[in-house]
Amino acid sequence: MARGGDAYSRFIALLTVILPLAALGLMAGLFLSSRTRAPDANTFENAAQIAADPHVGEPKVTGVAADGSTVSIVGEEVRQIANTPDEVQITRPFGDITLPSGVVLHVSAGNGLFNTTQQVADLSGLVWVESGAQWRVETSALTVDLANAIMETKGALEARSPFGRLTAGHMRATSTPVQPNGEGGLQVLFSDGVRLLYQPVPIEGTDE
Amino acid sequence: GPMFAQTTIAMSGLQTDPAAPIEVTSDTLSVSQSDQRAVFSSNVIITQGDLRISAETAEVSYDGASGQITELQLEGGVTLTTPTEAAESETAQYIIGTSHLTMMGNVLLTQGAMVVAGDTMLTDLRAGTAQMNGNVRSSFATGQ
Repeated sequence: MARGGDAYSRFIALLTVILPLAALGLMAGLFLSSRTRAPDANTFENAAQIAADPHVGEPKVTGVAADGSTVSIVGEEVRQIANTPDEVQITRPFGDITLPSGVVLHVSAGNGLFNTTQQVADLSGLVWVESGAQWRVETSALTVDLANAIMETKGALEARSPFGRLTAGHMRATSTPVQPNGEGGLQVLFSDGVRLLYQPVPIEGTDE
Repeated sequence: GPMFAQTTIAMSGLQTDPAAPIEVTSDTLSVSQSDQRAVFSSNVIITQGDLRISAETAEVSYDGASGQITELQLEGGVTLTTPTEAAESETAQYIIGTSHLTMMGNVLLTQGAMVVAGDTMLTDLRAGTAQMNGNVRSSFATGQ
């Protein structure tokens, strides 16, 4: 193909969308701990596959991170951000992130801005994160920093927890690989004023 | 004066409706997945009906399956107040299901003019009875 031919430039245009998306697969590292990242670990197997597949229907990215976290993110629409090559916008991103410990986090947002070089995703619109039936956090803006495995709200949030309904001014979740002695795993810190409301179910024996 | 090894004190105020919702507020709450620990820290205030308990930290033990809190472990200086009583201790344990609250360590209870001190105080918040145990001393504030 002559350089600058239509097909060629279309292919390049497609690549500029797909490659960042493939890098998005690195999002898999949401719960990736830099300590354990082997320098030359191959973090994304099917990048080549997606790049070769020119017609991407619903943009979907799957990947396995160096520490074993797997992510699969689906989005309605992918747009390259003008003159910021490493930023990709995905509307209605929705995905699962499976931590090395096996915990699965479902994440959904109205909008996602992914910086593929820094491996940071800024999710906005109604953002919710669910883990099993017990935890659900809702907020308006959430930053997901893959390289450091940190998930942090910008501001206030509401949460359903295994021990009642919570509100807080800020939430920061970090994950480290679970050590043999059981240490590590997901640590979540709610701050800036926490309020829990719990409805007890008293054990009978109340002599009404 | 005589030291009462154990005194059972009946109190009416130290009572709460076991089905009343419990609110916990604090500056922070940390939850760790590995050992299912949830700890409220700094300026912890627990309210249930008229009962108000403050502490430095409150660790929540909960049954993940049923979504119920089984126990609150309070530390760092505990203060309990009801409209008619005030009690202080170093630590406390509140078993939610049975409404049993145990205050431990330099317990000081005041009810109106009566002051009772002891090592531990077992309270049945449902029945409104309390039992002070160990090194119990009581006195009446006089001459205000």
